[in-house]
Amino acid sequence: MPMITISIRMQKTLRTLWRYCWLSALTSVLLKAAYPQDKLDGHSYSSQATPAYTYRSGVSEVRLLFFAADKQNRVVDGLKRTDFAVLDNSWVVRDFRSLTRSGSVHLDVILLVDCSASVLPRFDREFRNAMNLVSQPGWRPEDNLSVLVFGGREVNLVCDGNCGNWFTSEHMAALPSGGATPLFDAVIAATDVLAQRRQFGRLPVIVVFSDGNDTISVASLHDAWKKIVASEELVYAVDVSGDSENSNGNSALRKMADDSGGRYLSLSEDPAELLKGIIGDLQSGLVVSYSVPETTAGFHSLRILPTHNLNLQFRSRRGYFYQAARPRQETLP
Amino acid sequence: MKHVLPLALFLSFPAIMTAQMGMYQHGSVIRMHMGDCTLAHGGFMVAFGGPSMAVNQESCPEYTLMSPNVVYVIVGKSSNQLIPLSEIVDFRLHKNELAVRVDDAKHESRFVIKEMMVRSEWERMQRHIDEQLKAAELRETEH
Repeated sequence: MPMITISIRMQKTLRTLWRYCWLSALTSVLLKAAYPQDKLDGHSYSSQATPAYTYRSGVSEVRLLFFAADKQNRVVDGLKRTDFAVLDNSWVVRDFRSLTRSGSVHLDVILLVDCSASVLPRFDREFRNAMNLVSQPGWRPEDNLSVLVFGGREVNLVCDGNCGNWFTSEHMAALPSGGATPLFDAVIAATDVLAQRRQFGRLPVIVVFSDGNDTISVASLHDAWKKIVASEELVYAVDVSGDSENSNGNSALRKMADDSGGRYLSLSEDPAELLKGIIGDLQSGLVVSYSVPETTAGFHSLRILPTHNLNLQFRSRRGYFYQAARPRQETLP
Repeated sequence: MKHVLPLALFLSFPAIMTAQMGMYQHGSVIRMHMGDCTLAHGGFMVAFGGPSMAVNQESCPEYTLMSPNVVYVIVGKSSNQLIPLSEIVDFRLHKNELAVRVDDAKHESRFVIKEMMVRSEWERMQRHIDEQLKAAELRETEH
């Protein structure tokens, strides 16, 4: 009888032991799954065990300033999203993220004044026109206005910031005049100045008063053009030569202005109206944004065309440089 | 009897219009660029006729028109033959050409058909091009 009792007791003990073993094995498996070895060892991540993460970032939105006019070149009011389509590298874009007026945008303007020998006979007139432009009532106190002069081998930023009152006869007399024309170097210098103080919601604009005949620049017309397109600045070129015929000078000015979405203006027309036109133009622009339809890196050509009314005419920059997403490898701290 | 013919014409006008509208297929212009006019001006013989043929410097608009089943590449006959880029374009095939109805106007604008492709095939090809571009881009950025 006692023998039987012992064997029953032993069986019970063995069963209990078996349960403990089974339970401890299960607990250890669960613990390993919940807390990996490196956590249990040092309670911290090891940089060798954690893989470095690579992520890509890139701008996929295009913001495009444009101007709409009718056949008589009058500004079109009340333009809707459905009235136009953007051709981005020949792809038709009709799906826009936003469409706003540029009137609410503040301006960052650089006036580029040519002081070289080729414009010397007309320099007085050129200076007065620049003065008339800054005294137009359309400017707002928030707009930034700077003056950069060029002539000989020099390009000088003579006034930076709030230069509405800079155009005086004293300043005009003090300006160096004569020498060669470093127009393209001056345009590049202006784009650099604007790029340094670039802010979201501020439109960078260059107004060039020149005859367009560059004679000494280190940079070429192509370099200046590339810089303008890459920096997405608006160029208004005021041709002070008074030549109505095509020349190298006015075609260079026209190229820079047209491809930036700005305008080429000749002072052989009524200067007061032209200058008023620049201010009106800057306030009548529209800004449309959309996602890039094709992520090919490099130059993307741009054009805006009507969707219904073929009498509508659009002006915008002719393209932009798209940069592909750049990979960056980073390790978690 | 004198008034019967005009009356009959008047009554049948909506039916004629409806029939004409029914002839049109719908599509959407997805691409447009200014391209070579050779095909539009002289057709196949000028395009493939060799160097003795006159070379035209003018550029003509080239549109990629996508319909539910077929994708057409069409070329205008002059630089100013533009069609509005509205969401939906009405068009019909007429004597080896593609006639596009310009924004509800009564007239049509006729284009030379440069290419035709089944839509699924065109989409497959585009996907392939996209993949190749992305791969090239990736290689470029990693170097």
